[in-house]
Amino acid sequence: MDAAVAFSALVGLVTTPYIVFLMLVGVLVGIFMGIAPGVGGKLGLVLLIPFVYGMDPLAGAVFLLSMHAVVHTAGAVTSILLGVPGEGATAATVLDGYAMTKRGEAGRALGASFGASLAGSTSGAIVLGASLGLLEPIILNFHPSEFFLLSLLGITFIATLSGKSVVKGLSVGFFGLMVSFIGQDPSTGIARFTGGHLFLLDGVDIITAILAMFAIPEMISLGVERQALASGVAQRQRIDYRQVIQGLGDVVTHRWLVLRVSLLVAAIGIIPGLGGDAASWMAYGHTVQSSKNPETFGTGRVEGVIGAETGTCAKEGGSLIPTLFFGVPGSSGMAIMLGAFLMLGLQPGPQMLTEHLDVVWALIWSLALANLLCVGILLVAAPWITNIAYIKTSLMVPIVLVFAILGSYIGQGHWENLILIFFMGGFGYFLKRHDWPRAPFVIGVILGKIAEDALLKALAIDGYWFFMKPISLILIAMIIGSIGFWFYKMRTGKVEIAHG
Amino acid sequence: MVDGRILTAGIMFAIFATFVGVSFAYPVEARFTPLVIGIPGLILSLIQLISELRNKTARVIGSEERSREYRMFGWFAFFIGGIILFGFPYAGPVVVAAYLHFSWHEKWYTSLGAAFFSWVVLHYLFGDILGLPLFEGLIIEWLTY
Repeated sequence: MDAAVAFSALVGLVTTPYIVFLMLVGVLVGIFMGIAPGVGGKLGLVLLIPFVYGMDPLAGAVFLLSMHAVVHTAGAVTSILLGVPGEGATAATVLDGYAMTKRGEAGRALGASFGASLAGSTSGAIVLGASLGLLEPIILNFHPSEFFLLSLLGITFIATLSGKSVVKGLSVGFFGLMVSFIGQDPSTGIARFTGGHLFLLDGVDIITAILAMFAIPEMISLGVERQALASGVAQRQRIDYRQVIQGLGDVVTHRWLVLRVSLLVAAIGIIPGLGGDAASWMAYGHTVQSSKNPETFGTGRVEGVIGAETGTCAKEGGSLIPTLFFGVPGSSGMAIMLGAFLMLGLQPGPQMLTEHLDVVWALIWSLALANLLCVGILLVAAPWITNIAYIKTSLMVPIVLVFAILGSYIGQGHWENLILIFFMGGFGYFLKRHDWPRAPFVIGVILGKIAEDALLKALAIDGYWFFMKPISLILIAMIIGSIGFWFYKMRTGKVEIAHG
Repeated sequence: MVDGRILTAGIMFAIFATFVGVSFAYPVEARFTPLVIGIPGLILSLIQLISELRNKTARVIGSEERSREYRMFGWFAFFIGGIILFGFPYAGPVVVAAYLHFSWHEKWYTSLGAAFFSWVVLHYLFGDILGLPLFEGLIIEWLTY
């Protein structure tokens, strides 16, 4: 049954020219976003959301996921050739990849990176597909009380992992939840926190909130700092295609490393909060630890590139699991993706397994196919594509600002959202500047309505003792455990409280 | 001048205090969830504010950086104000060109090229191809209706 759905989803995907075209555009945009200075995956996703308004949900989701899936793959090009990571997740690739470039093995590093990305994303998609059968009975056993606690768990995980201060992280997460309560109260219908403004009756537009917290602060920062990210970093590299083939061969040689890292990271990616940059560093850490010569890593070991890139791409499959089936994003990128799914009319939750399995399979296939397309394009065009990294920062700032402002308007068609994005974006800049993590805000603002709905249902069904159920108690233990673990790390000096 | 760290923590505290304070004006059903989240948020933001007030190792911001920050916020306000008054199709390209030329001192052809690119994307891609309604600005709407 599942195999038939999986196969028909693949056939539907590759035989619909419109979807194939969108996937190709998504991949090209993802390559651009991965390489262009100051953009990256999260900002890229946010900026693409205005383009999918009014699109068919499946087409829109495939377009966004294709773009998101290849950002890291493309980001490795600048990590290896210029020593400049496209974004945090590809930073681990710099260690050995750039060292290989300096040693004259840029082609081999690129080949290894492309092969590992393809293997990692495919493995992540396989893990996601294979887990559907296992997940179904678990997901269907979740009740409203558990969904409420899952929302808190998602915020807690992200808060404890995304910054130096758990207090700041939780505050920002709760702030996001409070922002989501603005609008009509679901139980009484009265207007809450709207200040009498009609445009807030439907709530704060999720896309406006995300743009304000991610796009605006990044662009204001670029405008203030005025750093040209890749200018003068390195000379253009010549790519030797024999080396590229050698690098692809290295992936086959180190197939057990690829398999171990893929399974490890895809599993880690399921845990909310670990689906971000942490996963690629864990993959790199495992590669180093499992080597007979760990001291040689960082000097240009091809296994370092393979481990980091496999991990970076394999986590996407894993982090889609909590995003799609529990409505709890595995990473901040997935939080934005969740917001986009909601906007497209795809409601994540158990019904994705029972009613929209075809959509789930289409997304799984698009993860793998997008990376296949991306690697094909990069293999042919990598030497020229690096030119994107030299785009002037000055050009990015105003153009991205205009499109971010446009994105905040298009969702609800209220010009007042422009005033909202001004104040929220300004506050977002100060959060960024003073090391307050912004990812918990996004998760809070997205999960707020889901959490409130789940809490009210749980109270109606089970009363005030709704949390005295086995799964709920496990989730509460995990929330307390994650905060306790953070305090343990703080006491042992691995993180610093509040001030870095 | 107030330290930015303290100001940010103070704003966060004030936001929670406002949310919690306003919540008490609503019926029990409507205020329940905001209070479940708002009160812990208020406590956490107070802890952070106290922590920032007690912290003596403030990062010193140079006057040059501060003035660049003010200028950037001024430009951001110019973008928002321009678009609210004159709409995306007209103000979008103008603010892009103005920012590039006057803030980054880009040559006119670079600034106008970027403005042209924005105009094409706004007008043709969003307006014509995607068929999305673009806000025309309060002044343009007032003049045309």
